[in-house]
Amino acid sequence: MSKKTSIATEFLKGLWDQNPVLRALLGLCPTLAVTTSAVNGLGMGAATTFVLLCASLMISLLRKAIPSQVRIASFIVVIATFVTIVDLSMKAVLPELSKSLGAFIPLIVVNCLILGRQEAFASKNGPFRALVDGLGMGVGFTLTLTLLGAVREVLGNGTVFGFQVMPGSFEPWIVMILPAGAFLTLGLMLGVANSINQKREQAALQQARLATIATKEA
Amino acid sequence: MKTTLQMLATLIVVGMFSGGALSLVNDWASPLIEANQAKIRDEAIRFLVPGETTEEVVAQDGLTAWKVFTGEELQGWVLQYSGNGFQDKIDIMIALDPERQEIRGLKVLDDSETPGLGTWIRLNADHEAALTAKDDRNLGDEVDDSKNYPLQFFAYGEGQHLSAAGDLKVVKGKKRSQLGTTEVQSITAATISSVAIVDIINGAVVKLNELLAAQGGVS
Amino acid sequence: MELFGIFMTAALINNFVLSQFLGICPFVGVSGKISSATSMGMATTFVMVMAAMVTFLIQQFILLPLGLGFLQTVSFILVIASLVQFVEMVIKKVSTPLYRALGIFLPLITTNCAIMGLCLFAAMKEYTFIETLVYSLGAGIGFTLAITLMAGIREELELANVPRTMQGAGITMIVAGIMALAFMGFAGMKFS
Repeated sequence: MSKKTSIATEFLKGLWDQNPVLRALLGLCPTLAVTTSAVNGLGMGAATTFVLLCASLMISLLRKAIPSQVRIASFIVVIATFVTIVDLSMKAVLPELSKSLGAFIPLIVVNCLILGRQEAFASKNGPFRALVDGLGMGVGFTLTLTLLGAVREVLGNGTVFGFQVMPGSFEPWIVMILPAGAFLTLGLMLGVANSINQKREQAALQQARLATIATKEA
Repeated sequence: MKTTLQMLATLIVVGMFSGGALSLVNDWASPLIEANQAKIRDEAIRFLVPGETTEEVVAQDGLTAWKVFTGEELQGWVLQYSGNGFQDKIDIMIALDPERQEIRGLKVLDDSETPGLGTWIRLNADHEAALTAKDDRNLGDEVDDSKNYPLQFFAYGEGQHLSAAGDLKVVKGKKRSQLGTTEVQSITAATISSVAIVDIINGAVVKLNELLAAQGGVS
Repeated sequence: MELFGIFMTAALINNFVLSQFLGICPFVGVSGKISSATSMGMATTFVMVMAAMVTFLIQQFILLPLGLGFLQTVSFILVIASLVQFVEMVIKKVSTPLYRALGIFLPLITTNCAIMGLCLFAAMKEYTFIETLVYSLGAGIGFTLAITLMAGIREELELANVPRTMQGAGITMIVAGIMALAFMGFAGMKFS
């Protein structure tokens, strides 16, 4: 029986180590498309997280009942159902946000993040752990999108969440709101994430070396 | 045999759950969604031509036209039409005077134009934003705050409005005071959006005249 | 000609990858070599055209007449998933070398947002059958063009000194950004 990782670890892995966008490169389409403002990034992240949580819970509860050959089809139907529920609900209750996010709400159904978590985790773990995993991934995804949206909004519009933050004399970089700006910003964010990660790995390696030296001397 | 049955059963159950859940949510959401769309439309109409009641006169070939009344008195017409813009469709509403001779207002409902450039077509009553905006393209002459159409649509002279005969043209490099009633100043660096919206406005009034004539000469 | 306009718009002006942000995952993942990029592009185009046609029929003859618009997402994705399975089986039977060239890419196509996006957009724009066909062809060819161009650039990049932190996805995104800027030059082309 393998050692079970703690609940905290399951949650936290989605925030950095296995960040869906910056490490696993999943869900790039919505990441680039809707992050023209911070609130759009937040909205898309929240919608995706909702679908991920509901799907993970349902799949986890049904995991023993779904035969392996039809599991992908079942996952897809479950995910598509929750995506439609989110889509209809947003159109009814948050029409402005729904219009900004446009066709990318229904496209949540092909976000490889969600299907990936079902296959890799929810179908093999109990409901509580599945929810924690989903929450961690969802929050990591949402934070990344919100950050990307905020950067693009500040540089491309001078505002963040609608509040003016740049001085009046700032000439907005329109390119940030356009597709080119999305690609460039994400590319730079990936570079930064990689560099932070490499430093952490080096630090961890150093620690390990010091530890072995210490135990050797002891 | 058992596994095939199991597979089938699973798929049917999942399918039924999906269909059932979606029907329920749809029943709840549909009326709300329709109400939202009606609200946006009504607010736009009210913004363009203040009045009490509206009567839909034409709804054909992509054009919808309403008459706005206060009591028995016709206040004006509102047309909704769409056409191709720089990126995608631009959906607009325009206001006409009761005789359908002049364009009194414009509201852009939906567009995908370049933010900060093509989206200047959207400037409606937001004169504050226009005046304090970074860009003074097409500004220069006095702005009349009582009017509700976008800056570049200010035809010049007291009481002058743009022609609703479908003959608007886009021009460049003229000061606002020099614009005639059939001329619209192009937005710097957004020529395509400017031309697009003028085409859509022309298209809307031409189509209205066509459809009204076909209906039998309503004035 | 209207149809030519639809084709060119889908392929260049509103390129699915560089302007609409669809199909980014394979765009980043499969653009390492020109040969695999072109194969992926062609396989995707093939599935796109078939999926567009089938979802058109479903939209016109089932969803709209019966007022089942809210089942669009579920039905479309099921069609795409089944189509991909079916295409894979057929190619396996008909041509083993083709299967070996495309084989690994086919299952990936199911989660390619470009296919689902294409079907949704065509339904939203209310295109006729022929228009849908032309639109999907344009989209697929535009996708293939973008991914092949990216592969060409990345093959050259192999010989360049890319900083370690930017290698892989990072530099690919920067290149994509520059390509997106270049493709903006197609905007405003008129075909009438």
